[in-house]
Amino acid sequence: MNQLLSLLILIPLVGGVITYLVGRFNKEATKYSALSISIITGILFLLTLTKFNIKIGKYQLVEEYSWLNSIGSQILLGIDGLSATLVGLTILLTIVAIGMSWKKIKKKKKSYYPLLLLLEAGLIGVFLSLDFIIFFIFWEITLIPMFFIIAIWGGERRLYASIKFFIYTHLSSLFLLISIIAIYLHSPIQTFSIPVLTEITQTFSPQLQLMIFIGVFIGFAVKMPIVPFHTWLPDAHVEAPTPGSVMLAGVLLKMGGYVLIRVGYMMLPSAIDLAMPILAIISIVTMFYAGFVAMGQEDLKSLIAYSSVGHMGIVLFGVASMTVYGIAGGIYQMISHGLISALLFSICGMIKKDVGTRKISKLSGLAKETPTLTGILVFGSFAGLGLPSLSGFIAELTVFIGAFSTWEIYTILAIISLIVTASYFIWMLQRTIFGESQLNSKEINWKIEITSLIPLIILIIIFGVYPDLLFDYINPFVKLITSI
Amino acid sequence: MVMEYAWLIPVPLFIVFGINILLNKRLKNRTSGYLATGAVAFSFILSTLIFISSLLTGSKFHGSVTWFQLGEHVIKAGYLIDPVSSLMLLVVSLVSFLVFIYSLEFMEDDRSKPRFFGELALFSGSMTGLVLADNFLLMFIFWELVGLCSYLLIGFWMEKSEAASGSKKAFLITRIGDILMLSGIMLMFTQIGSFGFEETFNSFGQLSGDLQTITLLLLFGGAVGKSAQLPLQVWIPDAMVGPTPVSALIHAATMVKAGVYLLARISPLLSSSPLVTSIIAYFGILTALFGAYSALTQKDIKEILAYSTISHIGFMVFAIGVMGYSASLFHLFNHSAFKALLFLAAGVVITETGKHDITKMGNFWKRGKLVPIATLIGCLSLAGIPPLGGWFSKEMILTATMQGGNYILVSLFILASFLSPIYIFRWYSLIFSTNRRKKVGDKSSGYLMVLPIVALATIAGLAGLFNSSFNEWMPWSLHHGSHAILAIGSTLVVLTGFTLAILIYHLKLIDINRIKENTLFEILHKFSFNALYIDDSYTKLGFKAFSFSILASKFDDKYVDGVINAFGAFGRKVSSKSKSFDDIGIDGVVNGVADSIKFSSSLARKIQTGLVRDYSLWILIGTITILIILKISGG
Repeated sequence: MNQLLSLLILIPLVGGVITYLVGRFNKEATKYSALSISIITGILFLLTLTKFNIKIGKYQLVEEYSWLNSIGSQILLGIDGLSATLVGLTILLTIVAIGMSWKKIKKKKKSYYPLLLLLEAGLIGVFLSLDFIIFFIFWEITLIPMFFIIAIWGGERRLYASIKFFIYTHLSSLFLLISIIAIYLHSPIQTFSIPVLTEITQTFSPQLQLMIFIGVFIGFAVKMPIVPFHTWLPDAHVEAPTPGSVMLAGVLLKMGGYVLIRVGYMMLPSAIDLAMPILAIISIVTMFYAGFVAMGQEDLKSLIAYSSVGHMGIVLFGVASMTVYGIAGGIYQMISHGLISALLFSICGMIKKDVGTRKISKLSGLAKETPTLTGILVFGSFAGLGLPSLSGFIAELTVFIGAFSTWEIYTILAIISLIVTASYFIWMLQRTIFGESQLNSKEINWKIEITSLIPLIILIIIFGVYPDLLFDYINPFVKLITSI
Repeated sequence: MVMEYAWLIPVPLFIVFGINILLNKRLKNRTSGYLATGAVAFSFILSTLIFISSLLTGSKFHGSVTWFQLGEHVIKAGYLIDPVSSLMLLVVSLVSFLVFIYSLEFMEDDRSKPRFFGELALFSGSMTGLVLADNFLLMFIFWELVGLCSYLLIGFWMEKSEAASGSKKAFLITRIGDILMLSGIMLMFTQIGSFGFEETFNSFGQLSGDLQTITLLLLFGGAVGKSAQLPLQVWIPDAMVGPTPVSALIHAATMVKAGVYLLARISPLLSSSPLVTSIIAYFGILTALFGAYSALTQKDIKEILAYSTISHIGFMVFAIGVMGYSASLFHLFNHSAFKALLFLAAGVVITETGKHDITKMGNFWKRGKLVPIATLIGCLSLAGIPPLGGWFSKEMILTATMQGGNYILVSLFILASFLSPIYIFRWYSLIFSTNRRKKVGDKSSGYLMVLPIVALATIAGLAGLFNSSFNEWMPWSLHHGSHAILAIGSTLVVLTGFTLAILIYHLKLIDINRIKENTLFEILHKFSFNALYIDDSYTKLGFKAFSFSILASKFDDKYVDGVINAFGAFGRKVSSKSKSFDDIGIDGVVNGVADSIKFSSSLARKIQTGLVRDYSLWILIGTITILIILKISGG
């Protein structure tokens, strides 16, 4: 069986159609259909992992189908350490998102669950594609379901937020496309194959690489996002329904990090080398700026959204250091942040449902009202501020160790930003969980939601205590790409 | 050999934490406490066995397993048993055990008992883990976990607003130190490629001199935060809002000693850097003076003890700075016993009177003699009155200071030890001595609260006997110096302080109010009561950071986002202008096409925010940019 990777994309895609058809007969059945399809995808992924040789950093299980031969594009799929971890994250978070939708999504279920599966298929496609044309198609596909999820199932200002999200990220994709076309035009071989082009682009002159990198940079800087390209994110998050936020922060932002490594670092190393100090400064600014802005937020959800911005700054910082540690730590941070932000956004949605508000100043006394939710919020906050023994710490540690050997002063500045991160989380906890309660809990039964969060909690702890589970996938890949 | 099983010490405590937190309310209130006490009793027995075996044989044990692969380095995790860690293990598990027993009664009526004992068990587990760790990374992980427990337990009574701010302050201030320490650890790792103590000690010499100094100062920064030394001492007094057993265990006996333990651990590195040790010595002695001076005038029964803790840890840090490592650890041991004792006694006083202000107390001597006498032993040891443990350790520190021959340090040390008896006997007299006007409540404490106090008093009373065998056991060679005159002199100074306190506060032969009328004393009093206003200036700084964050978020909303929205508005304007131009132009020329225009504009209007128009504009901009880039890049 050598069609594992295409099946990983096709199952959620076809499953989405099936779910839609199921919905025409029985609306309630859509969620069961979606859940079983996402679980099947998960099982298939585990099967893929058994065939995946973790000792090799290169693409494996490669599939090749001819497609647009005239322009040199083909359907080329492959998996390596970077894509394996991100595909795993996508699949896990889709299941979590379905769990979080289970009771909360009430209208238009018939279209909701197929869109979620389409999103999953698009994301897996992005991470597995080794041809720029299909990569870009999947890249754009992910925007559509996300746009509708925000626009239909979102909050009050959902139209504004969804359109802003769409235009902003779509525009940035155009810059990425320009760079891809530029690479294509400069290549002596007419091909869109990423592995082939990777070898070619590395021989480009640094100036040319830098020109191409500018487009790539705008592409991932908006997606990740990096200050000052971040303002679509808080709006999109605040208005998105909880499962939408889970997918958005958990996986969609990682597409930016993925491009940073796959296209930025692997294809244009001289450009990164030239831009290193600028990237370092941008990421430090991102960490501090996002931290201070998060501190000033009134809405719990936008606080978490800004914390995402800060955390992604660490990814950029790690990769820009161009060291084994920095890149490995950056990838670790992407996975860790995916888990933590999914947890935080979920718990935030549950709190809003339970006590009727997300305003930090009104949430005081939360511990009295909903001890369990409070417990998870405290756990998530400490995971977010990088408490050792949780996954975020290992990521930050690895990034900073890597960065130390490249820049001393910048790294110390970046480490100081951890104090800001701790401050806004702790200060938020002071204003929410403590104090006399003025809230009224509806005492909703959260069994399904909490059950779907348990895997996140367990993984955050496991990745914090036993990092090899993830490093085994990341390290060979990073060693390969840094050895060039 | 019993030492091989040392890794088992924290395990039952972590399990109990898991059980208590997961089952929480489903657990019977009593069961949670018994479970935790059982677990800590196991740790205590095992620690005692290890302690005895280390004391008798003086042997060491080091066990480790492969942990994970970091870049090209394999990171190991393991545990290290030597005299230093076995002493710390004994201190931690002993005080934990007694405090857990005490809490069974102290927290009797609290409904959140499972959470309390769960978090307390997590603390004891992490603290023993910190002591056992054989490398900096593992130590740092536990270092942060004890910080987390401290945060959770200070804020245990969540409805109190002081608990919320106190716990926040404790976590964030120590976090500053932790970040410094983490930087130091990472700096070492980038140079040496290992987190292990042994490897680090072996290859530290290869680092350049400046780098050595910076690394050691960064590690010292961690100790400053955790052990509440100047200038990061402000969190301890506020941490006193937590339940009293927590103050006794975490903020007096164990966690705050982690900094001293770290410094003792890295003593092989410190010995090679006289600059760093002298910096440590000055920080320590200034903190000792600051703490003692601030303790003189406080009114809160626990805050006085908190400032006293700051002061005494200052002594320990100072002792490290003058290379008196075994003196420092002996003082650590004594202090853990007598300070835990005083806090537990304060807990008894608070539960029985319901008050915190010692100026409103008195007559406590009348409530059974056991607690007052036990407390008296603790106070005598703290004050440094012979022949109690506290006197021996102070003399040892003084001997070590004399070795250095720095007379500024010697006189500062004697000044600080002069203040200890004054503030602690002010504390004791105001609470316990006879005072007709003050009434005592009628609640009384049961044996579960009294027994741990008596046990600690026994230890504090007898500790002095072991000072010479302690010295032989410790890994550092002791310089035997004969400074008999100085020893007698400093003891006389301490006794003078003691007499003064008795005259003023117990016998009331000197009227303190008349002294206060003196302007100089008034100013001194004010500065002492406000702890040199350090805390207030930090609060102001915190407010500044807060208002800056509000400003930042407004800036983000107004300008960064504003630019984007302005772009959007601009796009809409341009497209509506071109549309109206279209309308007029095409309308004027070809009437027949009007219908189709109407149709398309109604389509555009349907999408309220003008998605299609904006989008087409962006595509236009995008295409132009493509062309420009292709042109520039010579395509």
